[in-house]
Amino acid sequence: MTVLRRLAQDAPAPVFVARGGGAGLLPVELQADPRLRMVGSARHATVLLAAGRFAGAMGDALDRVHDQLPSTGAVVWWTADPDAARPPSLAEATVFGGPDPVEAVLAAHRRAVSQPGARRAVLADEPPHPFEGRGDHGQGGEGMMGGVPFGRAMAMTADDRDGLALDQLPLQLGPFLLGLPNGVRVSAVLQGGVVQEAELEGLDLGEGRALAGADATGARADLRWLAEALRLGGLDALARRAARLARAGATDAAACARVAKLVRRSGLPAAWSKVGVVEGEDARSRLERRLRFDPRAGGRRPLPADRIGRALAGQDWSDALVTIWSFASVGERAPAAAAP
Amino acid sequence: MSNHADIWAAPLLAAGILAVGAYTVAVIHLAVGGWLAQARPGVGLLLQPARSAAVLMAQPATATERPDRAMAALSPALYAALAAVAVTVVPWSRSFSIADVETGIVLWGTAEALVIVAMFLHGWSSNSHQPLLAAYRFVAAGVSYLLLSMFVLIAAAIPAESLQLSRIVESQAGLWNVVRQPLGLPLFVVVALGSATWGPLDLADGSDVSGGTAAEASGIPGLVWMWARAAMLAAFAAMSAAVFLGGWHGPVLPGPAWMAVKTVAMITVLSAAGHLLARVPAERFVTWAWVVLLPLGFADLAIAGLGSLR
Repeated sequence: MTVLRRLAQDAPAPVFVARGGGAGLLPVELQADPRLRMVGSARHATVLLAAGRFAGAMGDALDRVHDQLPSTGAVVWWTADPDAARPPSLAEATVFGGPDPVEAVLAAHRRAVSQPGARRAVLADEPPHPFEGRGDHGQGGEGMMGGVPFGRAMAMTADDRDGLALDQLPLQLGPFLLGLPNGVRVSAVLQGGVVQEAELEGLDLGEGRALAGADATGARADLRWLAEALRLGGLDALARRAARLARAGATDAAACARVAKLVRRSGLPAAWSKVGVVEGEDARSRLERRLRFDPRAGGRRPLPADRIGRALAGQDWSDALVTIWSFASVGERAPAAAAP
Repeated sequence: MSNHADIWAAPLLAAGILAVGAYTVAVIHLAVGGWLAQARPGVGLLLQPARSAAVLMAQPATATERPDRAMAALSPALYAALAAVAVTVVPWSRSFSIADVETGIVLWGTAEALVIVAMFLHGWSSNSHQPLLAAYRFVAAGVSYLLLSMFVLIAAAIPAESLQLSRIVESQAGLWNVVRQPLGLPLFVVVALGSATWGPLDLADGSDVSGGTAAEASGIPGLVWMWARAAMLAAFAAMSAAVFLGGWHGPVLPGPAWMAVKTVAMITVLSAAGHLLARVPAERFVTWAWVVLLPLGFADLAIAGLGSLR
């Protein structure tokens, strides 16, 4: 074995986590382990950790992420129901049914870097959208713009909120994007970094057994939610600290209070101020409620997806994600699935 | 004038300084992060950047559909080259800098301005939504950094009556610029975080855009990009040490040792800012930059001008 591969084996394993049905926010706690490093793009990972159920549209989405993983990467399926139907991306995955998949992920990482074998793609190597063959250059739009050549929607000029004609970029993201609740997919039209219109869709997370420990309440649930919010805000070290507290059961109230103090000093509440205002309450207020770690503070009723979608128009993309996450329930239910 | 390094040795020296600087950035970033996360990483931390680099070297580079391959390869190289050009003008002692040109500040500013080009090409070239979105927002904020940088660097040049970096350091023999022009260093820290797309100003490679311009990068291209970003931060730390913290001036230790100590101190400050401060949304940063930071930059320039009249 070369020195390079030996060094790579001992590195923190870069893991991309896909949260499926029955996983809740339990996988968020894994970042507490310094031997793992959570990454926001499957391209950066050596291991794809699929947590929970993946049926129907969720399975299709996982197949797409699977094919984005570098070809030497490994797949671990963390499931409470290993006999359930699985999408093609999990056909050759290492199946783990226990409460803590860290060792299984590390073993997969070591295999991926020491005995790399080309993992087979599960999707056909063709554009996911039909090539429309219209327009001046056959790309399906007008002039040199627009259309969906090679599977990716191209920018097209349109009036913006200030009456200027700027490039309009349609995109669809999720359901495994950092800051999106489990099973939520966003279709949005952006001009520059600003959302012009957005629609949230909740994919069916399916029925079946949940992962042991997926359900959490009180401070532990708040810490899981907070850890994801902190990663979204670029505060990875604080996110790791919040995840450590959650993993330890969130029993140390003083430590939770210290994390809340650091979060307030980080400027995150200020960055969330006046963002995602719905019914007179902004994202900062929703963050502050979590930072109190007080079950009596209670949550507001989850909002329906169309209300959240409307609230995103006119926001910077990062503010849009903050808005969506600020409404995320800590358990299984995604905003899109919530009752009005 | 300082000894100019041999024309062939200059690129190697710049690459060497940046390799050490980037590794130092990685170690300090992990150490500060570990301390904040209460993870107690231990001495293994010193090898961790090498281990993470090995993961990327063992990984194949992935390709998106129809990328601009030339730009995908050139943009990390351009960004690294800009960091190298920038570091050439930094004086490490009274008698040594790689290229102590009379217009050092202008050369530094040119490298800084081209960062926008490298960053946009990196986001553009992968033919993917999130990298492009990240590139858009970096460009939107980039002009604010550049103006700010020019104001504070010209202010630092006024007491020296020169654009040459060694003379700017010499002018701090009695009083460092961090005291003489107290607004300069904090404003330059903003420029450093923005240009190296780091911490609160990580607009180009942020987690909210799945790694931004680097979202599709894996393997060696991903490693080169990560190294170039860390090298750029190291270059800014060294420049801060020279322009605001008195450069080689200091008791007991030799000049280069003082420069190294001050550069490491600046890397620690920049790293701590990265861990302790949340990312600022791009649109609000631009407003904040034009309404608050640029007027402060003007004030810094005015303070320097008035100081030179005495």
